[in-house]
Amino acid sequence: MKVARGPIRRRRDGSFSWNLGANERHVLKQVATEFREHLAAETPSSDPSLQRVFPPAHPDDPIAELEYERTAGGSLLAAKLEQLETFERGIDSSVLTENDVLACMRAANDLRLVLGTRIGVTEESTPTDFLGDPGTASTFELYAYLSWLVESMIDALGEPA
Amino acid sequence: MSGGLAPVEVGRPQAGAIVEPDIPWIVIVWNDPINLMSYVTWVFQKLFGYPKSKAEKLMWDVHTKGRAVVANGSKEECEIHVAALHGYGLWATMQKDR
Repeated sequence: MKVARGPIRRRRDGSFSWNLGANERHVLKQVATEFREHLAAETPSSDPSLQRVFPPAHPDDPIAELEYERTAGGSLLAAKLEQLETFERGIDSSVLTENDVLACMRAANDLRLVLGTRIGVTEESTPTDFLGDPGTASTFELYAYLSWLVESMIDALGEPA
Repeated sequence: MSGGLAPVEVGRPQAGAIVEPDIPWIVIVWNDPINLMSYVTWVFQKLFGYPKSKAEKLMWDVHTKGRAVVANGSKEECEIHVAALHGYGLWATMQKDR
């Protein structure tokens, strides 16, 4: 079986070409905007999908966890917002730097964490598990598309330096 | 008028104070159904500089045993590792290695 090649490839000069269709760009922008709004409106304590994006470092030690959230939490949120911004900007670009691809890959993976947690995917999930509800079915479709996109980015990046 | 220097107060150790021994900490990555196996392997290579064979073994440990110790060190070093793993969306925690 011939597997479809991903939309992102490394070029000879070290940059990356990134070819998305109009529909893909539209959908990715929409899900990125929703995630940005979600990050502004909710906190990990009020939303399970954000708990997965910001897991505790010290689950059995509330005092150490408070300290971790104080020291690392703010910069982690800032880093996630910044990579999301790079992703949103990158959607309209046809050429990305390696740092852009790294940021886009992390942002796309955060989107997978949020969507996957929201619909309760398991390691055995298949599209048929989500057919009963049109909203959940389309979320799984988007989740699967983002999985393919992340795989494509890993392939394009190759072995880490 | 005294021309002498004021005596310097020296703190004395409290008799009951517990000095925390230098116990190393470990960083644990937990299995989750969302992160791709290829992605987890790639992140272990990127963050810890592990060769692909070691990164893949750790990924398989996470996948089949539910968790793997991926790094160890001082509390501060481990917090940096955990924050970096959280930056990549991996489910990482840390604890004392006892």
